[in-house]
Amino acid sequence: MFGSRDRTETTVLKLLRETLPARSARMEILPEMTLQKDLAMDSLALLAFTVRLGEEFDIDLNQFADRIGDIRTVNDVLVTAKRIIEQTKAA
Amino acid sequence: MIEINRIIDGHCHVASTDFTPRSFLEGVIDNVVSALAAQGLRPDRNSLLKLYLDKMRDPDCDELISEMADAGIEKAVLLLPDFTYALKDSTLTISEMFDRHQALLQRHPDKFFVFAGVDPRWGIDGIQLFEKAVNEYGFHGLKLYPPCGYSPSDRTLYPYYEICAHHGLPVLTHTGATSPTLGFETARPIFIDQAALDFPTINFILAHGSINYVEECIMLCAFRPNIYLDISGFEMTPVEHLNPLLNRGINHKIIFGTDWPVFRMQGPQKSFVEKLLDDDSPLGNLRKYELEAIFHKSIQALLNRQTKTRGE
Repeated sequence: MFGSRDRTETTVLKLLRETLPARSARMEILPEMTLQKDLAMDSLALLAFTVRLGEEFDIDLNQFADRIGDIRTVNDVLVTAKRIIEQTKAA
Repeated sequence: MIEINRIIDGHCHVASTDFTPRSFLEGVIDNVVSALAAQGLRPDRNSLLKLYLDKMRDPDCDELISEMADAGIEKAVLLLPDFTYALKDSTLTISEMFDRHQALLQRHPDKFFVFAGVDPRWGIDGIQLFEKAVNEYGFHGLKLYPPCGYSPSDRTLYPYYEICAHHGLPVLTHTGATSPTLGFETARPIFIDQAALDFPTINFILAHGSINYVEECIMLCAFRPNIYLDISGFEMTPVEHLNPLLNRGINHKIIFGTDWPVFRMQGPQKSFVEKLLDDDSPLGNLRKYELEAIFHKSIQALLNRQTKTRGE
């Protein structure tokens, strides 16, 4: 289960849920779930999530897309997205 | 995790716009923009194009080699389709592309096999180029891309097939829809059948047979002894979508392939291998010899060139 979530994490999870394909759209999203296997996200779904993230937090698409190779789980998404969002704010 | 002792990737490309024209990629992006717009998103087309282009900057295959090592892939087949006749924004000639692929064989010894193609409408020059590549460059097969506007059973391809038959080389042909800049009609698997009938000693491979015209591909593999399929593109669907394919008695005709760099946006090569070898993958129900056939033995057998001597 997730611990207490801050506003950024809550928004990122909301964006992730909006992106999920029909077969996983109603699942409870857990931190250890993998994007490909558990949530059935294909390259278009990952791209849709990246675009949503960019629009919501005004970040460059490449910043997230460049790190997709290292992202396997929901928790990886949260950690990576938060880091990019904070770096963008600080810049 | 399912154990497999050896993996050969039967379907890769060099990640570079030197070999895939920008107009081809822009067509792909237009479809992506449409799909995202249907979700209420308004992506910037140029930003998306940049994302894709950034994944196409490995002209020397160094990143591919690194990803293959991480994924446990020992060797890979590099496919070079000829878009230069159909798409006029190609930056290199097909002859220059052949030279670059020869250089890759030298840069990474014993790692790659090259299947290269020439649009048959280039005439005698194309036939001579392919023959030179087989005899001097050590290329291992012919790659066809029928959406460029020809049938794989077109008679203009028969001189290429005669070269392949003489040297014991396989032919891999694209199947299914592709960039909207090209035609889809000739991408049906059945168009290979006449050539397969006329050249029974050549082994033909239907690319993307697990996702495009699956029933047609299964039928051809089951009844035509010299037709195989590869599963590249399996990344697009949940792994259980392979089930219909794996229960039809054609597992000795199925070849593993990833279609690098098409799915780089989705994850590394290792993640795709793991997807297939996961404990609850449908491949877990296969016997050891079937797994070995899919992951290396079938493609390895097709790669064993055997040039005929005079009189054969």
